[in-house]
Amino acid sequence: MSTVKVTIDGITVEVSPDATILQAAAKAGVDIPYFCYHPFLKPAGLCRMCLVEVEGMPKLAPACVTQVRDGMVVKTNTERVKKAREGIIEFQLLHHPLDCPICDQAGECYLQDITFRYGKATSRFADEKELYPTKFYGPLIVHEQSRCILCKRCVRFSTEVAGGTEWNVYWRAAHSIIGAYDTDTVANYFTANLVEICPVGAITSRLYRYKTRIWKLDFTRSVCDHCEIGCSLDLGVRENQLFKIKHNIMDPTPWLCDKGYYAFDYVNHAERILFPLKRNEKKMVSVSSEDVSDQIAKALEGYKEGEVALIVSPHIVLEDAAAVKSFADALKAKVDYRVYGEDYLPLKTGVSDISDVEGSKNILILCGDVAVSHPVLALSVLKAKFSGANVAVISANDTYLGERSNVFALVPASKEEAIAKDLLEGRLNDALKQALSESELETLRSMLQSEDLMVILGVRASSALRSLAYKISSDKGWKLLALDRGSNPKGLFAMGLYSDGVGGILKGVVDGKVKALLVFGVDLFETYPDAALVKEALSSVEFLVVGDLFFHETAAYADYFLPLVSFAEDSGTVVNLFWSKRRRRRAMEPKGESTSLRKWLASIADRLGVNVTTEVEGLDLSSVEVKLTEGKVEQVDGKFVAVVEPPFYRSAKYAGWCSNFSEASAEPKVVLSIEDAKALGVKEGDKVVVENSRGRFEFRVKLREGQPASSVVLDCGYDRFPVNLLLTGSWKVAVDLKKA
Amino acid sequence: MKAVDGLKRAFQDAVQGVSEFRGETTVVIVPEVLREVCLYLRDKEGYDFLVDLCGVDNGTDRTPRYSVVYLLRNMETKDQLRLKVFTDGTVDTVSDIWPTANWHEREAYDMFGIDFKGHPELERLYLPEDFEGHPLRKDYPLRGLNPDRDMYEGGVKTKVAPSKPNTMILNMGPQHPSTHGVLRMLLELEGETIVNAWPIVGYLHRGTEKLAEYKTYHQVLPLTDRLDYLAPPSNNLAYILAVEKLLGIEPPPRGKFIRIIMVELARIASHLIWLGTHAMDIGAATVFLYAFREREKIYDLWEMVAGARFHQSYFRIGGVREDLPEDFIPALKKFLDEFPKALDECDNLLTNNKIWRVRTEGVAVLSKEDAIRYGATGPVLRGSGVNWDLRKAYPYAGYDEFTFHVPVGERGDTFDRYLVRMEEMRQSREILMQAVARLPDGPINTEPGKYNFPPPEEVKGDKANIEALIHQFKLVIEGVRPPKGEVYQAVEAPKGELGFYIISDGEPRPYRLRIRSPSLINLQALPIMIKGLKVADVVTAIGSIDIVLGEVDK
Repeated sequence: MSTVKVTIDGITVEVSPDATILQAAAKAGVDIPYFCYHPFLKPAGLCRMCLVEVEGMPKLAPACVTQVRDGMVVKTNTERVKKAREGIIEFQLLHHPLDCPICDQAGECYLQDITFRYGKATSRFADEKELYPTKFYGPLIVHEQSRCILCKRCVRFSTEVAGGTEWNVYWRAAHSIIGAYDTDTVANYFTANLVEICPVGAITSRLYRYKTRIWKLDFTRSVCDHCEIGCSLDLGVRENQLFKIKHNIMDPTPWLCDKGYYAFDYVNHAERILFPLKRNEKKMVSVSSEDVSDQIAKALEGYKEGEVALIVSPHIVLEDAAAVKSFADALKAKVDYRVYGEDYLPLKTGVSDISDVEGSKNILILCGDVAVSHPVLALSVLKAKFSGANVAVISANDTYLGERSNVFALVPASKEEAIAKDLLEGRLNDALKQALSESELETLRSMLQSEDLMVILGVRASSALRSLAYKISSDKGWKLLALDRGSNPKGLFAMGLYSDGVGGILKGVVDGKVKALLVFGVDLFETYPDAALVKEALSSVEFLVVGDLFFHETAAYADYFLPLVSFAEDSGTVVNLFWSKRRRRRAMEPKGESTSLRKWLASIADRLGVNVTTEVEGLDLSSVEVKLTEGKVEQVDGKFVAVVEPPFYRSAKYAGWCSNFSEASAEPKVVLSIEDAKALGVKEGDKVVVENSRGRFEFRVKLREGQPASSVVLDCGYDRFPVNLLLTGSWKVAVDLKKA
Repeated sequence: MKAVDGLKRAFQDAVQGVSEFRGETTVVIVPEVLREVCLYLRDKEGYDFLVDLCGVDNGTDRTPRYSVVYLLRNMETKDQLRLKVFTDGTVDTVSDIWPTANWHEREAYDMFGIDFKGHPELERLYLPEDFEGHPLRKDYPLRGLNPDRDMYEGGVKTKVAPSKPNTMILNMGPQHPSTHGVLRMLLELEGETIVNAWPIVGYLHRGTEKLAEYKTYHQVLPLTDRLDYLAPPSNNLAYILAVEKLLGIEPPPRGKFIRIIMVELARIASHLIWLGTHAMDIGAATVFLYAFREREKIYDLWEMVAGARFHQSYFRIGGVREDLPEDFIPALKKFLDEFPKALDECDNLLTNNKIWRVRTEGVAVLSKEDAIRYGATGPVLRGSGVNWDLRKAYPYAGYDEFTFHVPVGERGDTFDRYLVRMEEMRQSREILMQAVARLPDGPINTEPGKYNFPPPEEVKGDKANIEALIHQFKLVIEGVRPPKGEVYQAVEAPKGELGFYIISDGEPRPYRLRIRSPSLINLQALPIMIKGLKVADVVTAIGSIDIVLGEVDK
């Protein structure tokens, strides 16, 4: 690979011929200030802060966009450059409000740092500053146009990375303002990056506003636990409260999603249960940690082999999982982590890094809304698209990626699996042909015939579909990425924490075979697609121990409640989407008497005379077996067939306890086709009743272009709105709609 | 540098590195040749004066972890050399080469746990005998190992080894009206004659050096006020000059003159307290009142300028905080007119007073050689006949523009030191007269906003601007970032050579702040000065050394 020599401030470095002066300077260890440059956005050269003197060029050159030439000599500390820097800073500060004392960015503000290093300490401006009102764009971000330095990093992110959102520049020249033109709420799943990218305090997090100063926080590097991608996070803690999340390293991508960024304040919530509780008829009373372990152990002693079962959250760390497995083995109890009623298990497919996704030439996404379940993956898919890849989204519900892809079909919920099966086998189902244009079908055909195809199966894909996809992609040399729910499903699968499904365990309770149930880290009413079965099981079980952060509905049936620690208060290992181990680190002391799951199990096991282990060193991920199943793909029929899913801002763990985050989706909606709405006589914003034999709920209408007839999407995940009562074990269900 | 070349020739590979920063030369040698190098430098190159010896913790991840730094001075050529050895915890002692190193090494042992092989009595200097831990280590927490316990209930030293049989060990202090603070002495007495003496210090130890590592360069300034708390501007100046040397800046001329005015007033004020208390200890109570009357006038002057009578912290990095008020110069002139008469009054009461002469002549003699060997500075050094004043030897802060004499004694007894200080007060008045006559106009700060806060009206209020606000914000929250390096800057404080050795790692907080405290080092010579004297002379001796416990104990 050829290189060129560049001399910067007397230091000569060798760089590739298409490097910019800024990159060469970074290699030489020379600091060049900038506002608008961002290492993961295309350089724009519009702030002019990086102007440097290049020998032979009459005008100063912007280092971030100027390509190097062999033998180039650059100087960054001449009088001309100093004057230029002072000038740029002076201009940027002309209309900048005196907000430092109240601005959240203070302490990590590019403008402050650069002014202090390179600018003058006084002003020549004698006029009035032109200021703009503060705009609260919903519960997530706050935009202060007065502080904006028009570097357009946020706009460039929105267009270059996020595939185009409502965030853009409006008007022009001196009247330019940045914002969302026709909406008052910006909640596009990736507003977190707008906040992090903005070099000044123009875009700030409403959750963090006025809470504390950035230098008062102690940051600990950990891993997010909302989905199995496990992005690196830095947790900012002060006086044992979690205040802020930052994403400082590019791991696995430079970007974060709104779940990781905003959905964490449940950790500090006042309603967290911090002490063990025990049932006293209709009330729960507090009990000491030693006593509670004694009593639970005593109760468990009375049960025989197979009469105890454990249901654990798919977010627990491997160390906890090891303790659960050894505990369950000792008691000969069944365990399962698939609290969302999945009939499938994780697949190890050879996709080992996110760059495999970003570098694919063709990506086919089936049976899932990737931007909701694995948001950062959606950005990687878009990165592939921007590099020229073909992206096809064939799904019963998709709220983000589809409209930014080349091929997008919203298919009826009743036919989703069948269409996916046909596609994998190389056929274009008729229903699909109706939904797509001829050119889109052509693209789809060429994708299916290409050698470089990645198939991404979303979380709705059934076990049968996954097994089929696994076999076909092995045959055809396609790459397969099968997405799972939870943040450590692959790890729990590797450790063997599964049996015949959570549904199997609940049915075992109802049948009387399972007499004692231990539920850790999950509210089954929220996660399991059959609330009636959950209720029957929990009402009839003899002995129930629930461990979690909050006293949710499942806990209301418990005989004992154990306070668990959140992800911020515990260290542990998880296995991510690409089957690599990531390490979570403890950022704060456990609150009250909350204790990790493994410590609770150890203290109970101790009294039972059994050993639990938290040993995970021996887990060898390379030798994980793939478990495939035979079976039919799912088929649901009815007058209307609904897909029930939480919207993005209700899909994070403990979303209901995260104030700002959950406010971004305030009301449960039903997504309806325009024809169906006309037939029902409703318009956008009206209320409809959705019912079947098991229940009846009111939703607000949201019309969607391209939504197939007789197919709807129902929002779940709202407080006191148990939509899961409608379900019978699957997230697709037959319903009837009528105007409210 | 001649000495460095000589070292390299004599010791070859044992010299690991030579570096220069801000005009100071640092030589790193291997610890095995330490004693030979020191003897070579003392005997062959004339480095007869050990200015300072301190330890540095380079961090738990560095091997070797500690360094011991020696600052050596050739009194004749005025050359200074910094010697450094890196060690994991054991170094040879140099207390027999330069006796002044004795207490320095004890302090390094106390604060870092460095063992000095061959030291006659290596025990803690400041902290109680049974204290656990070495506080200046980087892994020792700022608030101590037991922050909830507010009183130390450990032991204090009670046993010393008497040098003769049948002697009495008498405890003096720390509660004592004439020890000038919380100084404790154990005196070995044969009847009324002193056979041996052990000063025990540390009762006012507040951990200034440790605190400084957690504060920005601006925030350290008020800590320095409280060292020699009788002459705060002097301490401020020493620290500020050290930081300015590190940054490579200096204040404009008016700033310099204002500083010299404040510092010379401090010298007069400090000597007035010395005069009053020393005389009162010996029995002349009237002098105490006369001296304090004059000192009150200086307090008023300070209050006019800085708003505080005592701990001003008026100087800033790059200048001073505010300009002089209009009525200051006339008030100063009035004071300078009245001062000689007041001083003459005291002079007349004491200098030719028979009782005074008998009590002070020949008492607590420190020979010239001992003064240099024990690292004495200031009036103690000059009283013993050594013509050495930092204002003349290494003119700093603009002193080279002033004409003044440096009084020097002959016999090194209490009376000579008394005469030296009395004359110094007159000379300070001389400097002040010159300063008032030639006070230049102009700015008082260099580059306001970059090192020192911008003018307050630009930060808040109608005329505020964002640039000044940003600079104020960054200076307060982050602080000044000096380049990486180390400097030593000393001033001729009223008590002697007050030096600050600052090691900067480029961060806004000093990595190591070492205070070379004149009172502490001068006090080390006390036992040899009072051997053979009577108990009553102890108070005379302590008074004539002129110590302030804030400076002794840091």
